[in-house]
Amino acid sequence: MKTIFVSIKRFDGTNEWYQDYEVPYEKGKTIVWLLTKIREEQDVTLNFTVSCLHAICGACGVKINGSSYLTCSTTLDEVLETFKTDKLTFEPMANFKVIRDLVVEFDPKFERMKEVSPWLKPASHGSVETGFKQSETEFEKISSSSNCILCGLCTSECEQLAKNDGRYLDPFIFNKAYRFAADSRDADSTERIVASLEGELWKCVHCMKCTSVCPKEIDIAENIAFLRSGYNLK
Amino acid sequence: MEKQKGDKQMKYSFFPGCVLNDTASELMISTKKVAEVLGIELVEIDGWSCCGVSHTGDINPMMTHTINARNLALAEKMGANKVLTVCNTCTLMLRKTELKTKKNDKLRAEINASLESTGLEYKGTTQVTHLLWALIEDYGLENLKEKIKRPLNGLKVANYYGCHIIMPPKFTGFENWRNPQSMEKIVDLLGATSVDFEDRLSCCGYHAMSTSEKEGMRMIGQGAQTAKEAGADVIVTPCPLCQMQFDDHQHSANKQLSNGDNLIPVIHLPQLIGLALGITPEELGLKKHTIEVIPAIEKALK
Repeated sequence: MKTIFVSIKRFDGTNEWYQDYEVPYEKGKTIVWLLTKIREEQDVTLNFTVSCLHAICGACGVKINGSSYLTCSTTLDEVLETFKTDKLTFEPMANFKVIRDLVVEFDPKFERMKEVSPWLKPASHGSVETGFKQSETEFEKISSSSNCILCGLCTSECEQLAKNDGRYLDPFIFNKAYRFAADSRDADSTERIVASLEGELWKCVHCMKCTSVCPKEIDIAENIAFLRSGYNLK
Repeated sequence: MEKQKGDKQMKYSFFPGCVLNDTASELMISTKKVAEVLGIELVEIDGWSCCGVSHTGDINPMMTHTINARNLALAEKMGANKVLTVCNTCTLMLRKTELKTKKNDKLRAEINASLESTGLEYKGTTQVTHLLWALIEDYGLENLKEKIKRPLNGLKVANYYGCHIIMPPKFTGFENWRNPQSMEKIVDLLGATSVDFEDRLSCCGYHAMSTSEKEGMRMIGQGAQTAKEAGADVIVTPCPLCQMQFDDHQHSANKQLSNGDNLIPVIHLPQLIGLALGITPEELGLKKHTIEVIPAIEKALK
């Protein structure tokens, strides 16, 4: 039977090292199956995060052979086919502080997301009590960007974040800024645009990695361009 | 494009893109020379304009679609089935308009309303491709192999894809964006050896050089450094924008990153192909680079 050779980047809070495991191949399994099998059968000290198993909670992002994936919605066969190898190297998502092994810290990101006011500020033509009417066209503007599950894959792939000194906002934060700036029920687009500008909006390099990796197929790079141009906003 | 595989008579409408007329004129020279030797007829689109790069989309996305629909409408007027480019970003911008309008009649109608005063109508009958893809899916690697006169044995090549030939896959779609292999297929066919290096799929930073120079320099510095560390003699790219970034800024990037004085030359894909076809370095514009190329590739020219 085919063997999958797995190398996982470990971190215990002080030291970093790569640890090797061997797992017998099974057809039709997910990546989270592979990691769970290692933890349950070979190494109880291995840390990774996973929750819903349905690409909804956004908890299970990792890097495999240098590319970012959700472990729950990615099959082992897909990864083996992509890299034409039976050797898989797992690393934590890039552009995050690592807590342990494959576990990264989201709190500083969510703290920075507050800069773009990621909540609805009701416009005067409606209210929390009376509600809003939204046309199909108005809804379409925010439909895709609202699907973000905050998994961080876009951050992990972001070329600007990898080289930036720390002021640049994460792609999912720009997406959140667009999502409210473009919402017909919201009172203020300008505030989100100004916050995005202060978050170095114009430093996006248009590499398209965020758009390519997004498991919800949100065109994040285009939403960043919309924030720059003001196009497609209210 | 019209082709008969037997005698390899192929014809494309050619969209050179701005930089081929000036800063990357060596790419124009080498593309035309390689096409001539391979028997590929390139007919330049009469009246084409800039694809807008990523920049017009940051100001007015509809304008970007309109100028590219105009470019494609001009190609349609020439009776073209396929438009060929040699620039990643031109490929992406043209294909974005091509594919977005295919699924969206309203968008096409809106664009055509803007084009009305020019007397042009974009019908969506052309397909945009890049030389790299055309050589594999239209010309065929077997046919290319037959044309090789000078195998580039011993030359170690770092394939630097550049972003817009692989991403986003919904507009590029030629191969798996997470692990493309088209460059390796061609480079290895030419007799050279592709080296694996960390920045094979990294961004060169070109599109934000005016707003993010510091980070752009870090991208260039790291890309060149990882290629050198992998033992490459030369970096090869299918994108003139990546080529310009590395050729123009590598010296400064090295200084800023304290990478030493060692520079690695960066050449265009048609230049590498041309060398294997037996074309002289002069005829491929290889002496027009900022970073000297010949000493690094000399061993493959013997």
